[in-house]
Formats: sequence, structure tokens, C-alpha cells
Amino acid sequence: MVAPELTLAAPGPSGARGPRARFAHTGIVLAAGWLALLTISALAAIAGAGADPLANDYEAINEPPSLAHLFGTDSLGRDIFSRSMHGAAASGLVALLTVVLGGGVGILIGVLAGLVRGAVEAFVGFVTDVTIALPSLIIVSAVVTLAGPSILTIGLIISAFTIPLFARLARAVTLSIATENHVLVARTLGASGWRILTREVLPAVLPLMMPVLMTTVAGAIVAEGALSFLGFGLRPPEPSWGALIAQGRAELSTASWLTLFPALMICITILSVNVLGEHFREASR
Amino acid sequence: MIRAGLPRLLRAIGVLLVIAALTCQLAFLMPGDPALILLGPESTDAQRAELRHTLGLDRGFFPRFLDWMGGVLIGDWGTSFASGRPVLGEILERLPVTVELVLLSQLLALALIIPLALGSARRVNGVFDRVVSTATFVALAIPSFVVGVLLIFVFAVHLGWLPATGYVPFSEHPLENLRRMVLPALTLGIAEAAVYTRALRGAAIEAVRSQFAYATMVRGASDRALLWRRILRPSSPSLVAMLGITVATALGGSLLVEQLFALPGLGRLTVGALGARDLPVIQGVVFFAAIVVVVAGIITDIALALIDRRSIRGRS
Repeated sequence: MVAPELTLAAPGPSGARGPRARFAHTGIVLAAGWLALLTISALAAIAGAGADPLANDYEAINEPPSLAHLFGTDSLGRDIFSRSMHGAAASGLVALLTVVLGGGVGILIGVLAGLVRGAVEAFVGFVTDVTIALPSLIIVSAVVTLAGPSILTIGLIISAFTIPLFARLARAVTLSIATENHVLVARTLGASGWRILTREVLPAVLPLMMPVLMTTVAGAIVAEGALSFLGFGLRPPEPSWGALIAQGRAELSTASWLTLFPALMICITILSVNVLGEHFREASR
Repeated sequence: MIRAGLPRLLRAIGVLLVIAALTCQLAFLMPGDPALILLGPESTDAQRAELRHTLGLDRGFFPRFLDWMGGVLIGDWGTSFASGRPVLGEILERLPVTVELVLLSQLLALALIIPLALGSARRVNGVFDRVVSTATFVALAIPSFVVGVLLIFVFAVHLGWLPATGYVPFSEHPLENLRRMVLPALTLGIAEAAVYTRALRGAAIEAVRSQFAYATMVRGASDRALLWRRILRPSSPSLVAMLGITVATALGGSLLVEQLFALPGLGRLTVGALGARDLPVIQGVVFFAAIVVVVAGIITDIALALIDRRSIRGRS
């Protein structure tokens, strides 16, 4: 039965009170902790700590996880833990570029379009339409294959695709914020356009963009994984989560750790990013 | 409706023209001389000049673009390097497989989510709602290629219930065809189901709280009538809008799923063409996919206008 008390439950489905709030809090700490740990390990890995991800150890072929090789080794005796950490670095770079380039440029363009209106707005709208009509995975694969795969190309093209997404949302948010009293007051007091942008509009827009930023970062990490999984990403010996999963797939029944650990890494990472995104979404309500 | 639709249509044509123009520039993404890269260093100058001519690289942008566009309009999309066959023929030949895959995945997703989302909305924050919310939240975090690998491992390798790869045309053996399409469709559908469930749950909760639902409840309508008429119907626009958006995602997803399950569809054609740097096919597939996405967007808008006439005014 649909209980009538539903009509009274106005504060929203979040119910951020009692044991659930504590549960959500633990989730955020765990998610942030995982991402921090991953960042440190990935940085340590590219700085040269741990095993060489490309070194073959023919004494240890297809070894199950042990203390010497935490995630086991593959058919060429390469350390899966070290390869996973280097894969994390590749994913991290893509995520970073998405935040800085996609988020930074996209939000700025969107806010400008929302404030300036007119031709700028129409142009941004059209470019957004074009980008959304493009099947992104196909285009990204095409560009990366034709231009030659490097982690920078991959990161740049994936994050470029997110610019219009941010621009569109930032524009919509700006339109409503621009009519708010504090902006009107600033305008009336004769504040410069720059001041209104940096002091009044951006601080109000940014918190609202955080959930989208998180969703998009998760999407970018998945896109890089998909690209490498298809074999269009980094060239084979270079480790990437998607490529590790694709390589281990053939030996799933005999050496499941080859696939399972990289797959777990990508899933837990996406989950953590999503948990943070959900937190920002609740917070911005 | 026509007055509202015309600018939308013109805009769609503009979008397609820009995408067509961009695909004509794809060759220049390659570092260096495209002809040299495609033919290799052993090729003669004459061979390279001939390739440049067939690709139209020896002409300026506008002649090349107009030439290709003119061909596209009369059904001549160029010739594949790899197979020597017309590009449009290759695309249309593979299309049914992808269409079946996408349709099945959407059907599976819808069959899964409507009960889940409505069940959640019935008692917000109840046990069922929390289980569904958590499950969809976790499902959202699993990329489709991981889902596919896991499904193959469990159902094909471990249990041996379903074949992992291979395709049988529906016209030859309908049952065998469906048996082989279950896992690919599930792979594509699960991620979408998670997104849909969250969207539909939100819309349904809003509908549950509305005055018309309350009025129906007060009048003593049955639960079922309430759910279907007063809740599913007003929630459906958000569902239709989602369906329109996921067509684009599904095309990208078909790349992964068809590769994973060895289905001879559009995604496999794309992956093959990319691997072989078969420029005419890449160009054709990109443009074809863009048409599909744009048309899906228009159909979504028409469907939304039919469900709720207010949506016509809201769009430009």
C-alpha cells in the first residue's frame, strides 16, 4: 500500500539522519581513503617504487597472489600489482585532465555563455549539440588510432569531449544564479563584470557542478578502460586497467587473478568517485 | 507542432553537416602524410598519388566535402579499402545485428527496471528501496566490459549454460539466435538499467507525492490502478528522454559488446576498420552513427510532445 505519510516526507529521499547518516559518512571516508591510497601508490609506482611493470620473471610465471607478488604474475612473469598501479597512474592522468581541462574550460565557457548570452550562448549551444550527436567512444577510438596512441592524446581527447557537457550545465546553472539577489545587488553597486564573475557567480556555480564533475570523471576513467580494452589505448606492453582485463580474459578459468584484480581496482575506484559525487549532490541540495 | 519542430529540424541538419565536414578531415589526424602511413614506406610515388586522389586529399576542403556529401546523398558512401566493397552496403549488412542487440538490451532493461523503480517508490527508504538503491549504485560502478567478462565467465565458462561467442541469424534459427544474444544484451542492458532505475524512481516518487495521486488514493483506487495510471504515466517522459539519450551510449557500447561476444554487427565493423585504418569505412560509420543519434533525438522529442504537449513550448 502507498502510505499517505509519503506526502509528508518532504525533506527528500535522502533521509540524512540517524544511523543512515553515519553509514553514509563511513562511505565517504572509505571512498576518499581509497582514492588517496590509490593516488599515493600510483605516484610511488611511477617514481620507481616496487617491481618493474614491464620486467619478465620467467621463474615466476602465472603465479597466484602471494606476499612476493600481491596480485600474482601473468604468463610472462610480470607483476600484476605493479602493472595495476601503473594502470592507476594512466587512469589518474585521464581523470586529472578531465577535471582541469574538461571541467575548467567547460565551466568557464558555460558561465560566460550564461552571463553574456547572445551569440556566445548560441555558439556554445550548437557546439554542444554537435558533440552530443557524436558517438564519443567511436570518435575517441578513431582519433586515438589515427593520431597515434599516447596517454596524453587519450586524456586530451576524452576530456575534450566533456567540455560541452560542463558548458551546457554550467550555462543552465548560471542563468538561474544570475537572477539571484546577491548578483543583482553587486551589479547595482557597480561591480565590474570580472568581479561579478569571480566573486558572485563562480562561487555559487562551482558547488553545483561538483556532482557532475564526479560523474564525468568516473565516465572518463571507464572510457579510458574501454579504449584500452578494445586495444586502441596504450600500446600493449604499457599497463592500463582495460588492457590488463582484456589480456587476462583468455586465462580467466586458470589464472583468474589476472583479470579479477584490475577489474576490482576499476570498480572500486568508480564506486568511490560515485560515492563522493553522491555526497556532493546531497550537500548541494 | 510544425512551427516548433522546424527550427529543431534545421538545427539537426546543421549538426549533421558539421559532423560530415569533420569526418572529411579525419585523414589529417594522422601524423605526417596519410598516404605514406596507409601504404607503408615501400609504396611508390604513383601509388601514393593515386590514394591521395581516391581520398580526395589532393583537392581542397570544399571540393572534397561537397564531393563526399553529394555521394552520401545518392547512396555512394565510398569504397572500403579492406574489402573493396561499398561502405554503405557494409554498414547496412551489419546493421540488423546491432539493432537486435540494442533493442533486446533496452527491452531487458525496461522489464527489469519498471518493477524495481515502482517498488522502490512505493515505500521510499523502505527495505526494498534501500536494497534496490544500493544495488543500482554498485551496478553503476561496473564498466560494461567488466560485466561482459564476468557474465561470460559465469554463464559460458563456469556453468556452460550459454555459448560465449558466435552469431546465428534470426531468420535461420530464431531460438539459437536468442540464446546467443542473451548475454550480449544483458551486458549492454545492465548498466543502462541502473541509470534508468534511478531516473524512474525519482520521477515516480515525485508522482507519488503529487496531489492527483493523493486524490486517487483518497477515492479508494486499487494500488495497481494507482501505480500504473497515476504514477507510471506521469513518470514516463523522463524514461522516454533517457531512452533517447542511451541510443548514443548503446552505439558506443556495441563496440565493446560485439567485440567481446564476436557478433558481426556495426561495432565489430568499426573496430575492424579502425584496426585496418580503413578511412572510408571509419568516415561512413561515424557519419552513420551521427545520423542515428540525431534522428533518435528528434523521435524522442516527438514522443515527448505526444505524451505531454507542454514539452513543445519548453524547447527551442
